[in-house]
Formats: sequence, structure tokens, C-alpha cells
Amino acid sequence: MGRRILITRIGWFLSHRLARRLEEDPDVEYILGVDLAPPAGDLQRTEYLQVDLRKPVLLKIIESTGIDTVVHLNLYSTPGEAGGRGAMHDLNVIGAMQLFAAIQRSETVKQLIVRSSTAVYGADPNDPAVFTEDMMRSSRTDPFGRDSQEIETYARELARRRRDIEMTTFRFANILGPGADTPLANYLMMPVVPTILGFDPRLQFLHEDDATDLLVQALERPVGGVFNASGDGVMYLSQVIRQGGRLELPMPLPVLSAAAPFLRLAGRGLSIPPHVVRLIHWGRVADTRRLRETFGFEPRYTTRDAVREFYAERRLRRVTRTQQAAAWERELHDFLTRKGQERFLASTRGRGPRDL
Amino acid sequence: MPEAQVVPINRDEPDRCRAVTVRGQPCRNRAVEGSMFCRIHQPSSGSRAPTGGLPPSLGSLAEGDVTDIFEFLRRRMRGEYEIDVFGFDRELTELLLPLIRPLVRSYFRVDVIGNERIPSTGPALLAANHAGTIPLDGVVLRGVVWEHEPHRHVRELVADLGFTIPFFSQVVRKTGATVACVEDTMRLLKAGELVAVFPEGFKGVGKRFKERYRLQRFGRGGFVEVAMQARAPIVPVAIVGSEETYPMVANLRPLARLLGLPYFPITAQFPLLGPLGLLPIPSKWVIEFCEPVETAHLPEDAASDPMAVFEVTDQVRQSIQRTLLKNLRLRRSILG
Repeated sequence: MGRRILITRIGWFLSHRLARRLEEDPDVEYILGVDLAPPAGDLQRTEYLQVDLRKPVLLKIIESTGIDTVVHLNLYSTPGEAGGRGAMHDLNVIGAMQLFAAIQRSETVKQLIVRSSTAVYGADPNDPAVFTEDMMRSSRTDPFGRDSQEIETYARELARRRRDIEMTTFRFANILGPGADTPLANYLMMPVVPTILGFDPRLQFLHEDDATDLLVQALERPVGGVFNASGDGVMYLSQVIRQGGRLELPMPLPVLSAAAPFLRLAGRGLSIPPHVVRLIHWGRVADTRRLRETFGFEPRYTTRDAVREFYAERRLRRVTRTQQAAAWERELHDFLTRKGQERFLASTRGRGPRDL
Repeated sequence: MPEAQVVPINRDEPDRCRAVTVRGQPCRNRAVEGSMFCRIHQPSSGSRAPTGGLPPSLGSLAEGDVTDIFEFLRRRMRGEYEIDVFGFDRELTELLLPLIRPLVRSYFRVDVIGNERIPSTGPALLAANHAGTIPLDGVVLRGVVWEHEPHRHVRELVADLGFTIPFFSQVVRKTGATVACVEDTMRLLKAGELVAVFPEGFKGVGKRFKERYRLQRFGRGGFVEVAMQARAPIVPVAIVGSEETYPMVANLRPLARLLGLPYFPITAQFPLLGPLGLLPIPSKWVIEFCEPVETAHLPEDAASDPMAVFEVTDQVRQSIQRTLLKNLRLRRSILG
């Protein structure tokens, strides 16, 4: 009997990629994706169910579908995506509580993968340069980091009560790559990137392909524990911006904070949410030794590779758009010629007998 | 000065040097046989920086050097340079270090004693006294260590307050320093780096002139514990001269508290002399690297024995204090 997998927040770009990968795996018998909104792209055999995680419906779903593995990727990083800070907190924390409560009751679930973020470490000038997994701070973080911390706390409680469930928690660094749709990715795509005057934070990135591979490996060869996940190497924000051929616009923090809400009004994808502001102020680097040595995963892309691919692919996409336009034009042309020929043929056909 | 003379400039003339002089005029020297350049402008392949950084001398630029510089600038503009996890930008640092050479050699005329005691490889902890209101001692120590074989980079531990200051925090990180905390010290030592710590911290830099050359309390001795754990030797460093750069006459505590600073100094020259008061007094410096305190021979669990840690801390402290008093006698006056 194959595996039966539940993925939460299937609408997130990485969940979608994971589902696509799992669909190709013959050992995976059934995939169920739940979310408030339907998945963005097309999926072959993944079943989608509109579910509000805050409501106690998950146990019924898990029982009726015989789910044995849960990949909990439901984690909103910005109030904007979730519809307000209150909704974000509820979706993140209450959603996780509901899910974990259901898993604790369930008899079928054998494995749980939890998405967390390196934001749990916060970002602060007092912090050590590199965070290892045991350096979690209680305070000094943003709403996103706090939600991640709370989710991890509930996950630990679940792990303590259900020792038979193999649980892996990944603290993802910022995910970047051709298809990455994250607040930080949007920020880095601005043609003129506002930065904080006098500060140049250290950043690290995980390529989206590595993130997907990591989740797949965790499903195939489960190793319990908490792991930081990031590509090798560190870059300064200024380096990232320059590599992308963008312009840096340094401004004092109060000006940036004041301008951030107006940016959101100016257009979608232009907002700078609080956790990004914190990150571009102080930066954050996590140690990935445990991921390599204990979990046994070697990221294929370094931080620099992720940045390069991110910008290269976006530029390519713009090219693709013009190519697509050309293709459409060709299609339209073909269509019109075909129609024209048909009309011509029809007219000759129509004329033919009459002439005869 | 050579007499001005009219020389027909023919750039394709085979026996003339192809280089451009500092003044932007074509070089008029004869080219060395078998080469396109004269003896002065001969591109020296051996002396060029191996990292692809700037050529060591900017005095006379050959065409190759100019291309190198442009390539270097292009690379920097594209953000294509490596930093380590702490944010250390080696390339930039090696560009900046020669700039402090005049400060070390001509301004403070630093005499160095015992530079052979700087470990040439492997992890080590330099523990130095801290003074001078504005911590120039960190900069000078870096320059001194880098001047001597094998040109190691000092990785300073800087108080967390330093990382909240705009621009300063950037420079500090990019030149290889990091937050003074146990985790970072351990990581640096494990990586085999030469780490510098000023155990007196703000108590040292912020002390008044009348307390000069009196070592302040050494934090909690955390740095000794880490060095013992990492089995790295501790090299006590006694710096004479830093105390007189900005003699602090008074400390305006209320103003400091208002501005969130550890101290607000009134020095002999500031604010009396206005912006000029920011110039340090050119005192004569003597830096001595003392006999290293080895930690490798200590028992395995010594780092978790507070008494053993205190003993080592005391040994380091006394070594610095003794050397300070000894070297103070080497100077006839503050200035020389």
C-alpha cells in the first residue's frame, strides 16, 4: 500500500511544487492538499479540499482519507497574505494547534513534517553571528518569528505525547529561486530597493529546488529533529542588490518604516512587511551543519547560486512574455489564414455548383 | 626635473614604452628589449596581489594594471566577492589596511616588542588593555599584526553596542570583527582564527585620564573560559600610548544616558577645539606581545572549574599590568 500524504496550504508555491513532485512518485498513493484558496497552478492527481485550519474538521478528514503523513507547510509570513495580523496569527498558531490536536488523536498518522523559519532566532545587534538550532531566543523577533516559535512549541508537545510519530521540523532560511513568491523575493525585485542607511545585513538563501528536495528526502528517509535549512555561504544585502542589477536606495529607518505602508498602496508586491524590515536591518545567518551531518542533506545551490538563478530567471521570464506574445500573434495569424482559406473554399464550393 | 623636450610620439614605435605616466602622458622611456614597456613600467607579475585585488603600487600604472583595476571595480559593482559567515570581506580589508600604515608608523610611531610571540598558525586569543575614549587601539593592533609575518588578520570581538551604530557596525563587520559573545568566539577559534579581545570593555575605553594604565576589572572572564575550551593559547598584549590619545577629563553621565551611550567624554581637546578635537594626540606607542598563556596542557574539565578560570584570568591580567608599567618607563615623555 502506498503512502497517503496531506499537505497544508497547498496554495503556497512550495507546497504546489512538492505536490507535483509527489505525483510522479508511484509509491505515493494519495495526495490531499488543503487550503483556504485553491492551488495556483494545475495539479494532476492531488485532491484539493477547501479547509479552514482554524476549524476542528481535520480529524475527520484524516480519518476518512487514511492519511499517514502530514506535511504542515501552513505558515503565513505577512498579515497581507492572511488578511490582517489577527487572521495571520490565528491561521498560523490556532491552525497548527488544531492540526496537531487532530494528529494526536489519529491512529493512522506516522510522520509529520513541520515548516518553521530561521525567523525564530529573531534578528538583533546583540545576537551571535551564526545561529545553531539550540540558540532559540524567546523574544526579540517579529510577528512571523513569534508565530513560528509558537508552532514549534506545540509541535514539540505533540512529539512528546506521540513518540511513535516521526517528526521533522525545518527552519527554512529565506527561499529564493526562479519561482519563489515570498515577501523578500518581491522586495528584492523592486527596481530601486530601499535599504536602511548605515546598515548592510548578512543574508542567506535556500534555493527553492533544494527546499523541495529536502522535503522529499524527509518523506523518503525520515530523520527526527529540528534542522536549519539554507544554502552555503552568506551575502550582504548590497551584494544581492548589485548582483540583480538593481539600485540601492539607502534611507533612515524611520523614513523606511513610514514609507512602507504607502508602498503597499502603490502596488502589489511592493510592500515591505515587518519581518523583512527587521531582516534588512540586522540580518541573520543560521548554521546548517546539523542538516548536513545529522539529516544528511547537501544543498545543491549556494546562497549566491540562489540569488543568481532568482534574478536570471526573472529576466528570462520577461523575455518569455515577449516570446509568448509572438507565439500568440502567430497563432492568431494562422487562425485568420485558416478561416480565410475556409471562407475561400466555401465560396468556391458555393460558387461551383451554381456555375455548373 | 628633466628638461622639457619635444619628442615625436608614435605609439606604434616598437622601442618606446607603451605605458602612460602618472600625469597621463605617454611614457617616453625606451622599452626593454623583448617587452613593450620600459624598466619602470615593466608589469611585475610576481608582486601582484594573488587575490586579484588592486596592484600593490598605484604610482605607475601599466595597461595591465588599469585593466585589473577596472576588472576589480566591475566585480565589486556586481557584488561578486566572497565574505565569510561573520561578514568578513577580506578583499576590502586588505585594501583598507595599508591606509592605516601611516597612522601606525608615522603618527603613533608604534614600537613592537615580541611580535614573534604572535602564533603564526592556529587559533589564539590576543587579550589587550583597552583605553583612549575612542578605541583606536583595536585599529592599531590590527595594523601591527598584519604588518608582521605571516600577515594574519585579527578578528576583534566588539561590544554589541557597536553593532547598533550605523556605518560603524558595517565597517566593523566587513573588516572581520564580530559580537563579543561566547558563541562567536568559539566559532572563530574553532576555525583557527586569531581573535582579539579587550576584556575591560567600556570600563577600559571610558575610564578617565587620571586612571590611566590601571587595568579595570575583566568582565566575567568568559573569554578565558572559551579559550580553555578551545585549547587555544592566550597572548596578553600590553599597549602603551593609547591612554593619551584622547585624555578624558570628565564624563557627562546624564548626557550619555540621554543619548544611549556608555559614556560622554570631555577630553583635553574635545569639545574645546571643535572638530579639530577629534584628532588624537600623537602619543608614542609601545605594543608588547607577552609570553603566551598555554591552555592545552590544562585538564579536560578545567574550563568548567571556576577556580581554574580565575587563575588563568589573573595570570593574563597581571602579565598585561606588569608589562604596561615596565614599558611606560621606556618612554621619556608621552610624545616620545
